[in-house]
Amino acid sequence: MISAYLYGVVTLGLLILILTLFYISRVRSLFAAVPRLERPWLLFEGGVILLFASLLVAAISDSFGLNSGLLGPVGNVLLVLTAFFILWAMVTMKRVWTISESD
Amino acid sequence: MRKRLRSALRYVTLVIVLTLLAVPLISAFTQIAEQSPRTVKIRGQGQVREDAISVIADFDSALNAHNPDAALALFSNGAVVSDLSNIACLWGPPCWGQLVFTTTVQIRGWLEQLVKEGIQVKEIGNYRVMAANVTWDLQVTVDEYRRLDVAPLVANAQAVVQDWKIKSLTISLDQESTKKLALAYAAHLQTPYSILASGVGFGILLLGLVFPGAAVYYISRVKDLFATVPGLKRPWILLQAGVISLFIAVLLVGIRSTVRAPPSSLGIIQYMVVVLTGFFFLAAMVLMKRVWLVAPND
Repeated sequence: MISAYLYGVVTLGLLILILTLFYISRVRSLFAAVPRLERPWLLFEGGVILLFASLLVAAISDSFGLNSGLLGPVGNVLLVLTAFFILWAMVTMKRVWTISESD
Repeated sequence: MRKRLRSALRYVTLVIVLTLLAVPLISAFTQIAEQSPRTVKIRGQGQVREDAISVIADFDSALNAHNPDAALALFSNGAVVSDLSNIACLWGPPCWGQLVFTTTVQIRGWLEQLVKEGIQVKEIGNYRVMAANVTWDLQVTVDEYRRLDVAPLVANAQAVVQDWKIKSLTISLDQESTKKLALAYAAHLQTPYSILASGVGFGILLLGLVFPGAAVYYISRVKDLFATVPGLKRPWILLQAGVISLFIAVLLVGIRSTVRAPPSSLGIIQYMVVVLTGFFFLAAMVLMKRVWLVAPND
């Protein structure tokens, strides 16, 4: 059972994340010339894709009442992986930034 | 003598004719009365009892046929429904705190929700009628009970029936069923997270808290380094907000696994936090791209 509120929130979340992915894919080509920037950007993309997947999994599990099965833990693992990717992206980004600053 | 005999014969013939005429008329009236008992004007205690039970039976049939319109038609104007065990809406924001339905729109919503839940009811035991009050026990099955493997559950119902309409209806699970349902919920919540409570799952959850925690710490340390870079502070703060949201989302996963709250009550907060995370990331990336493209040129 999924309520109207939940449906609205999940739809909004998926829209925002789709927009983010679209934005990343567009911007990536602009950054192709900047050395070492592609990697953190890709990691960011990976993080956002995982966030999208975790929200999707959570919505599916709640709407079909499958929380007791495998989907619940899978959604949680995806959320944890998101955090890992974002952290990794930030570390590499900072490195690139400080190098480019010093250059 | 002959005259008397003739007169007696005439009298007998008249009686026979009248009787022959009366039989179909009586039969016709009886049939009409049987076909539409609602036209009976004078009703004794027994008739009232039959009427009330008939209305309740119609209500149950409408529910079993998944016909909310037919069920709604049996309620009088200003009827009140009390679903004290929240049979119709086991969780979810629309039903938070609402167990009593007082308007036609609310009662229709309640009935439609029951139908959505695939309700099936079956009377058990006898109807007990006291004036306009009817009490009865019934077996209730909804999808949620089927999913939790506790269907059917036993409920007690009480209704006030007046003029062939239900004036008030109160329904609640009996004590044993309430306990059975609570235990099923507890077991159901433990099932997906029992892994979390012991071993690998707990480790994953811990990692999920450590990563955003480290990210927040990292951001706060790096922020000072980037203080001199113009325009970088803002996207970095947005990233920080995104990571904090992510941390809260993972924290809510842990809370959901330990607190016996209905999944959707904390679930909707978790979704909102995840949505916020997505928004913060998007905003941070837009600003970061702008800064990045400006910074090398500078």
